[in-house]
Amino acid sequence: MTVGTIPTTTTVAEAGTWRGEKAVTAAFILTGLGALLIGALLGPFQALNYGGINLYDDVLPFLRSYYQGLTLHGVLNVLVFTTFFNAGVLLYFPARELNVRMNLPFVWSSYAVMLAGLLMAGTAIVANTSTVLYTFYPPLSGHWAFYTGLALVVVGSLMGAVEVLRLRTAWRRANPGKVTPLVTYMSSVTMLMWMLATVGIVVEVVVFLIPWSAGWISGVDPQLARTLFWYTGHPIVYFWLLPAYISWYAFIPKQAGGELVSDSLTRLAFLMFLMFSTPVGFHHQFADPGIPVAWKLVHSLLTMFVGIPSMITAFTIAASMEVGGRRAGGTGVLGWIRKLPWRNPSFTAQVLAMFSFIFGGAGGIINASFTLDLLVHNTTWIPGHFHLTVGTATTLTFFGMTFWWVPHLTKRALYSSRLALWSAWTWFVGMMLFGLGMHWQGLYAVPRRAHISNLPEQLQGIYADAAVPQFLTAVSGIILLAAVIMYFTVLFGTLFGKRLEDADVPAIPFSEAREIRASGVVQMMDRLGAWFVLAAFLVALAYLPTLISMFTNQIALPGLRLW
Amino acid sequence: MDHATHERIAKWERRWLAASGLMSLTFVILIAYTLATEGGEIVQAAGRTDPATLTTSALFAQPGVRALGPNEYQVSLIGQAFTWVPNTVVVPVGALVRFYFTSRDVIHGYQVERTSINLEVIPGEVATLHYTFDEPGTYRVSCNQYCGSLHHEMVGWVEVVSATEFARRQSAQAAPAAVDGESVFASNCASCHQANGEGIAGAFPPVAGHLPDLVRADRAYPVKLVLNGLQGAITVDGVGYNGQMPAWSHLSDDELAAVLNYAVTAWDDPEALPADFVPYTADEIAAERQTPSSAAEMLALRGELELP
Repeated sequence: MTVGTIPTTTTVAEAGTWRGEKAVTAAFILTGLGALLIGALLGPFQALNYGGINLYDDVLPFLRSYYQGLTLHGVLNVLVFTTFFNAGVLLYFPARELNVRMNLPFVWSSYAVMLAGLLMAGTAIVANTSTVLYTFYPPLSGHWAFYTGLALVVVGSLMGAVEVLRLRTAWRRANPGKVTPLVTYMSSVTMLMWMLATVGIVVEVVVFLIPWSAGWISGVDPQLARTLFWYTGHPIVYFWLLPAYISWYAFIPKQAGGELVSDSLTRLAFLMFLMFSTPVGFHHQFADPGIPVAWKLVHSLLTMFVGIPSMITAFTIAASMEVGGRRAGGTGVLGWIRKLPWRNPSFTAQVLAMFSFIFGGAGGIINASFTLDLLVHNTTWIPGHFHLTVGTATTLTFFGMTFWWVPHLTKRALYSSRLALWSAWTWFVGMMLFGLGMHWQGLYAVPRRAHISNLPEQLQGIYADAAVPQFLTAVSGIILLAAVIMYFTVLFGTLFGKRLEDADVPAIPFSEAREIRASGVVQMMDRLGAWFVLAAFLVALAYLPTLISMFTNQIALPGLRLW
Repeated sequence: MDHATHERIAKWERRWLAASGLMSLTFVILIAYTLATEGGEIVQAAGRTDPATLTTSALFAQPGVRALGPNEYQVSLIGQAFTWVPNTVVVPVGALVRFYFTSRDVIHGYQVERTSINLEVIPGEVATLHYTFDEPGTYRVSCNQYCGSLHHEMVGWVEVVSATEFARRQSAQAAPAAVDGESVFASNCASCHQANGEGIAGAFPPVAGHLPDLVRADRAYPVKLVLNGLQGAITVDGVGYNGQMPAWSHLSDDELAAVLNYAVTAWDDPEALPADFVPYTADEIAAERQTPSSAAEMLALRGELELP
């Protein structure tokens, strides 16, 4: 009982249509990738730092310090690249799936707001006024333009959320009684989660940090600000991850020659992310004195439930690929794996991304385990972890998507399928090695975000016991630099390369989906308004007691500039 | 996909989900168990304190190690850019050690290698945890929260020694050694103001070329400055600074007098000082210590100085 909820587009119809949508989508994802290019080129210098090699002062004289470079790296990669790319994913595919046109002037204005924010925050960082890293904990105080710029990026992305929900509503009006098609469902749930999740950072930045850095209020309570930051800081990682999941669920089964084995389980996984990704932020604050231990425990336990939708995803995607591998003639327990389209760079990049996420997810469970976290909190283990998750699972999936999506959007042929494949493998190998080196160093209590290759003489050698993993980390930096060069050669080669004939423009590889659960369950899951209210209620329960006591008992401190 | 395949997938899917649920539950039980059995090492709040009032706080006015009872010690520690006060903590092996932490400026992180002592040291918060070191040795302490441009140099130590060695060191401490201003400067001031006294433009103001001006304007001001610290925007030689000078009241009168006498002449022509300048004395510091000023009052005081 295959349900053909997903329309198939023909290549002939593809070429000349949806021009406006393609242009704005290309603007979003290419701006994001541009930010990534700058951020990722700084990355190898950080990796070399953790190998004990300081090239910052010699090679990057335009940067005032390691920490200024690290601020750029973090902000551009995890705040700018992801938010722009996500806007492209979450707006474009629902519009195409539903066959509903975007409100283009509105979408372009959301792009303009985000771009203005990027330029403001970027200028503030480059001018060395805001060397506060991407977590910007007060009382370290950046320039007001830095905070305002970040706020604009978030506001622009929330405008995108409004547009995604409008697309869904327009479709439902025209199709009363029908269940939301799958890609739109996944995108809408992601945006609802983002709307709920951004409350914390919006309050932190708009109510406190902007007025404080502009001199309108004299102080900010650091513990309260940290708590508001991590209210958003955990669900934001799912905002980075879910667009990758959308590609895995919606496109990978088709690219593997199979079909999505369960439509309803896919919906359940996303709904669980809406429910459980926000009321868990204290697991980033196990080491904070100002949060009661009982509430930390509650958040730790709730975090364990966020593991379940990812376990569902692992099963569903693997089974969907296995269907494809067996259709291609694969037999035996593992024989189907060899029959998968490994020469397709888009497919391979994303499967490597999934593989890295096994380690990223397992590390995440360790970080979320209250008592284990104390051994690794704020060590290099943590950047080791999130370079496997956002740095590989998400980023490598986005790379894989661009191998068909950029040709689709721009009518240009993929520059070199072989180099694309090489870039994916190199990124994967580099990041796995980086992850190994950084996790391992963390076990020796080497601190994260520290310029340890530039220690004064009396402190030389204090991290010598971590020499082996430091060597691995340095090597990974070189490998990743090669991967960055290869990937962006493919990207620019495509953008400025050969025009495609209309008939050769790749179509969107929407997969067919299979229904396992009764349709009543699916209809119940489709009542997104009610689920959103329930999720908000759960968040209020998990956060309000602590937040109220923090708001009513603030120690407001003035800002400091220590760089 | 045929019906049988479909059913087989659904069967395995149910097993997989059950296994996932069971795994999560196991983790939950393990977390709860370890928390119940090792709860003492989990950081907790011990009240709140405004960083501006640390010089008069019962816990933090004189940070360091003190005995609470037989084989039980209290260690109060302040994090400040870019050092721990005290930077080296000496405790006896096997003793119950009750740590108290706070920060004088921005957020720092205190992690002791090879232990589960790992916490955010947040201004405004007093954090506490207790720990017993079972192995003697020197443990490295790294600041693991970014706190400014010399964050990586913020490294301290915990020395865990035998009970007899601990007693020996305490009696040695009671007899004060001669104080050398240059070494006091090197271990407390140089990380920000640099060994050459020139500071870092825009981040940490210079001492060289500036301190004699301060002495000429008001001889007592530098004494108040090292005792009380300073917070807020200032300008030196046309360059703006908006950082924080910590209070150094935990240093002894002898040490503060020595470091001031070192710093006024180390880089500048003695001619820059008033003709009738005599070196600072410990008594002068002790007298000034009786009337503490808040960091904000210090900023106002600086505004009243007549500087070139």
